[in-house]
Amino acid sequence: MNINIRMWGDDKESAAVRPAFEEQVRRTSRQAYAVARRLTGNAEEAEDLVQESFVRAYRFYHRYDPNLPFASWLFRIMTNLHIDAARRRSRFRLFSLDSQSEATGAAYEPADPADSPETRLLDQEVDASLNLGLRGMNPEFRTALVLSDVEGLSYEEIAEVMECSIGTVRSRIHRARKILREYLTQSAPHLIPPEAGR
Amino acid sequence: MTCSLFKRLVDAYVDSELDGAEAMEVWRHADHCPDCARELARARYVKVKMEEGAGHGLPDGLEDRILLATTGSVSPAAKPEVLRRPVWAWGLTAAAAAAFAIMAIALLRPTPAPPPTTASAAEDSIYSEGFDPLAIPIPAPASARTASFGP
Ligand SMILES: [Zn+2]
Repeated sequence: MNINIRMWGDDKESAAVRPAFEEQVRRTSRQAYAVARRLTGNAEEAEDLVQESFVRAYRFYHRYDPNLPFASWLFRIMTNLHIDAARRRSRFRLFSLDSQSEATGAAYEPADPADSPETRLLDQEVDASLNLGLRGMNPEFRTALVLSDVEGLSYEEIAEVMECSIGTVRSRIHRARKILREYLTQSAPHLIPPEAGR
Repeated sequence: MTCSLFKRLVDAYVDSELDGAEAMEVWRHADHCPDCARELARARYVKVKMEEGAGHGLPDGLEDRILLATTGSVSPAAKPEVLRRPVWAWGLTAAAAAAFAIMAIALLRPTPAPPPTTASAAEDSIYSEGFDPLAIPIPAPASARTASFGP
């Protein structure tokens, strides 16, 4: 992808901005990557999303209000980029869990314990399954859930990042997690622990 | 509490986002309704797995690439192969640079600084003409309710 290298002039403002921004990058890049990784479901897209988010954050750093935690502001940029990209993609292909499981049955194949290598961990399977479930859902649901479960934000904080009401956050998270548990139960019932199984 | 109300509240419950009275009702219901108790266990299971699976470390060099793409700075650690070069290599590099400089001076006439390229000028105008990176519209919730899941 193209990354625009922003060269600030040698004015006083940029001299002050640079170290402050670099400190923000060091403090938040790890969290940002963890969120992006779940939002996109893969390492390459996650890197692109994180990098593009920071590029925008730097470009508009003069608009950053220090009363808001930098991470929240960064997440707002990141989630807007992510939702926007997901919408643009979905204009070209409708991607729902229904079409995924019917049209491309091979999209998710529960591993057969008999022939899978011993090194294959159950957790990796759950993880892959969660990523598939996340990928098939509406990007607003996915974003709200990832901010809650990966970043540990409260509903109020998510409402601030996503610029919506707490009630909307609550409904998005409910629907996202419902989709995931139904997806796991149907596509990979062997991954569900007995006390949570049908 | 009905089972359908329980199922609507269960996710806010596992996120500790219900008030005390509501949370107590949810807890009580799960205590005597095995079906809803399983729903609660599934909601918790998904939440825990979402948290656990997110422990990816930062990829090598990503922070440096971010800094390079934003402030343009390169940390010394970003170029370990340069730092580890033997001393004689620096001598060769200096000699090559000097030779190149002499050739460059001989071959090139001074030229005025180029004007900004049209691409970057257009790009800058996007950002100066009221484009707001934070205001990519989020569609109304009604259109957001399109995700579907099997029968
Ligand atoms: Zn019940």
